Amino acid sequence: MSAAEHLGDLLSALADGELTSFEAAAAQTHVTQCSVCAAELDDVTTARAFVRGLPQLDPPFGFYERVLRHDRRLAAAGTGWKGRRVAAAAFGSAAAAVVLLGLAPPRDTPVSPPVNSLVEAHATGASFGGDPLSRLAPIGVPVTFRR
Amino acid sequence: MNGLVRRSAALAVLAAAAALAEPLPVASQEGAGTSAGRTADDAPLEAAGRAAQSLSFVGVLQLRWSEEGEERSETLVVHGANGSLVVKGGTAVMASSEQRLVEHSGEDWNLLWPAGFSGSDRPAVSQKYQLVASPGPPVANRTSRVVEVRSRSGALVEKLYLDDQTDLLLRREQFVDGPTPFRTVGFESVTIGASVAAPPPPVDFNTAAPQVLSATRVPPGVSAPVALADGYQRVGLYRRSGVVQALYSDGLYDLSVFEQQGTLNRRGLPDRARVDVGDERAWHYSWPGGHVLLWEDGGTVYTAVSDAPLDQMVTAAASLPPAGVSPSLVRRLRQVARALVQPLAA
Repeated sequence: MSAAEHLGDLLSALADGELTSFEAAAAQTHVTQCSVCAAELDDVTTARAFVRGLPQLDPPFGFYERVLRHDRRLAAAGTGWKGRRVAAAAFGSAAAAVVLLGLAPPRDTPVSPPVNSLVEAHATGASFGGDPLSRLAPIGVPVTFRR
Repeated sequence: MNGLVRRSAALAVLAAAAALAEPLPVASQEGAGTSAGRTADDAPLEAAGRAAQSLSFVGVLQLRWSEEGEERSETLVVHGANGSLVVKGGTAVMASSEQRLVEHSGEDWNLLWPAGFSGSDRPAVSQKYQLVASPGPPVANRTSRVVEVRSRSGALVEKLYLDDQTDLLLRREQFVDGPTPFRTVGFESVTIGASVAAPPPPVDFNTAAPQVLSATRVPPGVSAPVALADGYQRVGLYRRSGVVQALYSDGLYDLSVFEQQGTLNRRGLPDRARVDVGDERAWHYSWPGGHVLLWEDGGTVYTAVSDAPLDQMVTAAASLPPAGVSPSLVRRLRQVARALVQPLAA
C-alpha cells in the first residue's frame, strides 16, 4: 500500500480493533509512513476518547414510555409520507442538538494546578537537555506552594 | 426532479460544512537544533551532561537562590556511576537510563519519565547567546575552565565552571543585573573517578508517565505554538493527568507551559507578587531552580515553570497566542462541521 492510497474507513476499524491481526499490522505500518493517515488516526482516536469521556445522563422521567408510544404511533401510520416526515423531523432535531452541543461554550471547571508536581515534571523533563546535575539539584529541595 | 433538487441541496450543505471543516495542519519538525559537530566550548552544557552520565563521582552540592527577597541555601549529596545519577536532599531524584524518578521523604518512588521521552534536540545555545571560554579558578579543589554565557547585547547571563579534565559541571552561576550571581549550584567537594557503585534503581515505583502528543496535532483548545518569543522552540508536547505540557528551550534554559481547561481556583493560592503576562495578571512564585508564573486566560489556566530569568519567562509567556486558548465560535463551528462531514466522506 503506497502513501498515496490512504486508509479511509480502515482507520476507524483500526481504532475500534475490528481488523484482523494481519490487516492491523499492515495498517499500522502504513500509518507510520503516511502523515495524512497518522493525523486522521489521531483525530479518530481523540474523538472516540472524547465521546467516551462524556458524562452519562439519565433521561427525564417517562422518556422511554413516550418513545415507545411514539414508535407504536409510527408503526400504525405505516411507512407513508407522514412516517417519513416524522422520521426526518426527528433526525433534524437530533442533528440540531448535536450542533448546539458542539457550539455551546465549554463549562468552566475550577482548576487548582498541582504546582509542586508541575515543577518536578518540568525539572525532570528539562534534565534530558544539557546538564542533568544542575537541572535536577533544585528539586532535591522540597518545595511547597500552599497557602 | 424532486430527488435531484434534494440531492443538490444535500450536496450544498455538505460543501458548506466541508468548507468550514478545519484543514489538516501541515507537519512540522520539533526543535531546529542539532547536536552534530558541537565542541565542549560551543556546547558546554551538553559536554557536562555527557560527563555526568559517564563518570563515577560522589560529592556535596550547594544550592543558593533567592526566594521572596530572602537568600536561601541547601546542601545536597550527589552520586553518579554507570550512567545513573542520584541527587539527595529532602527529595531524592534519580536519572537512570533515560528515566527520571522522584522520591519524596517517606514515600514511594515515582517514575515521571520512562525511557524514550527525551524529546527533540534543543536549539544550539550559540543561536541566542555568545560563549567565551577561559581558564577558571579552582572549584572544589579541581582545575576548571569557565565559559561565560552572554546575551547578544553583551550582558553576562551565566558562568559555567567545567572540570578541565572531564567536562563535569563543577559550578553554575546565574546573573541578572550586576556581577553577583542570584542563583548558584556548585560542588563544595567532589571525588571524580572513585570506585563508586552505581546507585541502585528502585525495586518498586509508581508510574506517572506522560502521554507523548503528536507534534503535528495539538489538541483542540490548547495553544502550544511551535515557538515562543525570545528564541524559545518547542521540543516536546505531553499530556499527564489531563494537563498538557509544552516544553520549550532556547538552548540554555527550558520553559514548560502547562495548560488546563477551566477557571483558576484562586482560593488555594498563596499570596505572592503579581506580574503582567500580556493583558493578564499572573501570580509569581520562586522555587530553588527558577520561577513559576500562574494565570488564567480565556478559559484556560496556565502554569509556566522555568530556570530562565523572570523577564525572559514573561516575554515568552506573553507571546502565547490567545486564539488557541479557547475555541472560538468559528473554530467550534468548524469542528462540528468536520465531525458531521467525516462519516459521510468517501
